Amino acid sequence: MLNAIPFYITKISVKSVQWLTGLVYFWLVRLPLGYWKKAITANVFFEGGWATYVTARNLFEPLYQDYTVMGRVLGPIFRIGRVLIGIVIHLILLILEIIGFLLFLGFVWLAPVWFVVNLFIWNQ
Amino acid sequence: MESAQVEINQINCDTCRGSGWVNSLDNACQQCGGKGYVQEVRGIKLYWGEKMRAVPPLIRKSIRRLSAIIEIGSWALGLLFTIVGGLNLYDSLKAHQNLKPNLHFLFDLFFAGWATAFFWLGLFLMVVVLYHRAVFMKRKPISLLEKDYQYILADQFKQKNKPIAIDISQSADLKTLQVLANALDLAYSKNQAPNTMHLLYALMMDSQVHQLFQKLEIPVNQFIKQAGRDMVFNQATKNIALDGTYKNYLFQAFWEAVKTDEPTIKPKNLLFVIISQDFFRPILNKYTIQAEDFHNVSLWNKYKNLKVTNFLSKKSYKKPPHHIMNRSWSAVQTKTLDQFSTDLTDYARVGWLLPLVNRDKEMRMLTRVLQRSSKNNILLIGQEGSGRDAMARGLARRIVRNKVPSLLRDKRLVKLNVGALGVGGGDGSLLKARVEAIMAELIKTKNVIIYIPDIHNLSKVKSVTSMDIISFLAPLFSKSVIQVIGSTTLKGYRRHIEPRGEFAQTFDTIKIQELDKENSLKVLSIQIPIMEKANRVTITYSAAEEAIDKSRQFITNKLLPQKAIDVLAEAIVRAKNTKGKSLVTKNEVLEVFSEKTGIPVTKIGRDEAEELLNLEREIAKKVIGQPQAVKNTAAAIRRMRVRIGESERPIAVFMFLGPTGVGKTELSKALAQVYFGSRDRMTRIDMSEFATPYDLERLIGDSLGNVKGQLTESVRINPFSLVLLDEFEKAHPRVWDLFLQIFDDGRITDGQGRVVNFTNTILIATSNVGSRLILTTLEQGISIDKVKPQIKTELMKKFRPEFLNRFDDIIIFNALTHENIKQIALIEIKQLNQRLETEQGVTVKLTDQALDYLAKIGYSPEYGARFLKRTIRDKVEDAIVVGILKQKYQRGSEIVIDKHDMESQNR
Repeated sequence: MLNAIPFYITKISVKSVQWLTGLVYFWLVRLPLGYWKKAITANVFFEGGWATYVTARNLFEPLYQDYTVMGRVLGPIFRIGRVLIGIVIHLILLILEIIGFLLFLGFVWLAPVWFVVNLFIWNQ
Repeated sequence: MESAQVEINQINCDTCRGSGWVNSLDNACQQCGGKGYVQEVRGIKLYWGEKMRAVPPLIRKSIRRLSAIIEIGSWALGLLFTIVGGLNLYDSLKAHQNLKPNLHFLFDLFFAGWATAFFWLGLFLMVVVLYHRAVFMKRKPISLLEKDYQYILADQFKQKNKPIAIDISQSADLKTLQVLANALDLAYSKNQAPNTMHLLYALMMDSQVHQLFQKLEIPVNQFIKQAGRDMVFNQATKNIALDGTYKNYLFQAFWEAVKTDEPTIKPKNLLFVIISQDFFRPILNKYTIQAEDFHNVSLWNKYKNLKVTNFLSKKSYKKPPHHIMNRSWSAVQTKTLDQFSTDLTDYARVGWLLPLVNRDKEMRMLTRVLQRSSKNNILLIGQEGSGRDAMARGLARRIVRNKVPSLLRDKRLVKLNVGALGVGGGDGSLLKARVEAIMAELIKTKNVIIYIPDIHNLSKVKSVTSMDIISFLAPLFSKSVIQVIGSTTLKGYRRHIEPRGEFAQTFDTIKIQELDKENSLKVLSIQIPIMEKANRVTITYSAAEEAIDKSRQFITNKLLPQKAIDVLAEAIVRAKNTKGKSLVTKNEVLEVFSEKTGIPVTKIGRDEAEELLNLEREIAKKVIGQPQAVKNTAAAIRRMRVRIGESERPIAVFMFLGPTGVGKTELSKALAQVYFGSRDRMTRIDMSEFATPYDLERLIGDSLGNVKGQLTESVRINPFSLVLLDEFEKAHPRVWDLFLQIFDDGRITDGQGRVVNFTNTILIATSNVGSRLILTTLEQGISIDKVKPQIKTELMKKFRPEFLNRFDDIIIFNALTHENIKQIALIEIKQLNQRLETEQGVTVKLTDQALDYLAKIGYSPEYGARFLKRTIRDKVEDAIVVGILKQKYQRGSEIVIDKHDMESQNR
């Protein structure tokens, strides 16, 4: 039965199915994941300079090798401040990224849905 | 990874001839299951899954055009929809009060009605086209560096859970597939069965491959013509397919890519495979190129667009940004250190440091020592230009890229500018204060590894308190509170560091050796793009190769690759300024060497083989009556030069034996002219002046430099010359021992500890040992060959056998015959004529009787032809001078001198 179908028709059909399934996967999975992959680099870049995690890990290390009592007291205070600022900036970035994601969802990801929906809404 | 240990079985299907299909692409071959050509490795079947066939060029072109039209159309449509729909949307939103964003606004935005549906459709369409272009159509080859491939050749191979068949075409670059398609189409259009030539031609169409040929100075069209000349082209079969022959090439390219850690099979891999075929060897030989050269040139492109290439080519003195605080706020500010140092990690962070070539072993040792808890200081010992600084730069790059053990992460590698430390303080006290401040900062900050180049220079500095810097540093270094990488030369280490036991003990040493030719080429492949960009020139591969080869031969006081880089820099200036061109070829490099060494460019560039073959003929023109000596000398030099690998010896070492005036010096001069291009390239040393052991100093110089070494200085200044050691037997045996070393190693250390290289010299010792015997033999009319053993015995009595063995040949000169003297006289008269003609406009001619008479009185058995010149001056020149003064001869006249004219000169 299959042998009766010309080769190019089989090939075009297979390719079309591949194209469509690929598009669905791209739209549903790769696009949103790709967005987050790109978005998260902002946090990574910030962390590379601010080192919130490294500071938190060395919370009780005195600053600049100052092992005096004052140094030991001041160290954690400054470090806590830095960690807090870091967390806030990370959160701000995250919020911006979420807003960006929502915009992406609304204007790109759901574009086909809006197309279909708007097609059936009669203009006033 | 070693593929040699893995057995590879090849299976080529006979039915489909390796293509995997019969009649049409979808009809898989029943015999082989559609795989066609298979290589079986450790039970895994590797095959080329991508089925290809030739397509008429018109169809392929049409398909390409159609898909381009569809793609551009979709983009245009998407954009149009978005704009039109967007305008409609804006229109409908205008009805909203003041366009304030609220829930109603949002509702109106997304549910505006059918007229705005175009806007969403347009957006959707554009993303779909993007998907089609960037995802669906983009070929994403499976990287060969992935585990799926790497385990095939891994030592710890386990069959369990591994695939039984792998399609290697999944790892081919899109360009490789295009090359294959082009090759098949080409065969189709010519109605020929596809062969290597079609593939080569298709490869040439690839821009990267084309560039490789350009860099190698190979004219592509000429190359293809020559390659195709002997190729057999068969008539095309019904289906032109990717068959077993092509697949074999592809598999070779695959293994090549796997072995060289390339992620995909690229057209250049295919090119390397094709070029390496035996068939191409004679053609490559014509261009004096090897298949390996293509590999090296391909490296050049790799480094072309690096950030460091752009930065260094601009010759900028910009400093990279320096962060006072480190990430964890644990380090201390290092003000004094920053003032007198360069932070290499700062440079590495912005990508301004060059990559390191072939120092993996040394780098492993370096990081291992730096991790230790004690004695964790390193001393890099090597000559200037051996790459000690490059090691430090390499470490900085690794630190920044986190490619170092955890203990070294986040560290700063700082290069101390020792020269700047002492500036402004005459007595050394300021220097000491600065060093102390720096050390205090280092101890406190803990995150700095300090690199002190030429650390031995520190020992030369003493402060007013008479305590030198090293005495101050040694205890600090030994406590491991500071991590130091020092660099020094072997001489500096021996003289200044080793004697200071406590200081030397704090270091572990790593010797940095000179790079070999192959790795020097790699360094050049990094350096050349920088030079090209900075000077806006193109440097050909042969220029680079020649710079390395010739600098190895002619520049002995510097190391590779630095000396080759210096030569190329000069060649660039020469090409640009003198010739006004932007292409630096082999010729410019040769000209630089000619200028540096004083040897004519024709000599340097000439094929040495040709020169060696003509050696005998050239010398024989100048030396009369010594055919055997000439023959032996030429043969010995030939022997020496052809013996590859023994380059650590002088070019040749001879001993010339024979009575005075038989042509020993003349042969030496002729040799200097033929081999080094000038008779002046000869240093003559009278060895009878070195008859006592104390004379050795005059030969190699004294340690303070007051007495210059007669031998060492002349060879240092003129390393490409002939050294004639006259009356060698009269020197003191201790002087002979000195030469024993020169003859053997081709080098000697002079009084001041500098190594003088003799590998570009010819050494000739002359001796009168056995002269009496030769003369007696001559008087008795016996052939010299018969007394040779006796002469050798006499030599053995004089010199030790191990000494005589060092000579490449001991050549015994004949005594001259009357005929020889006549020939020599003729040569002398010829030279006299040249002088006379230019200065006085007259020529001289000797009658046969006159020539006979001249030869008779100009020669004596005891002094040979030594007095011939004087006799010609007395008998011929004087007669002419008197005639000229008396205005006897007019310009243009020929003076004929007869025997009695000369006899009358006696009176």
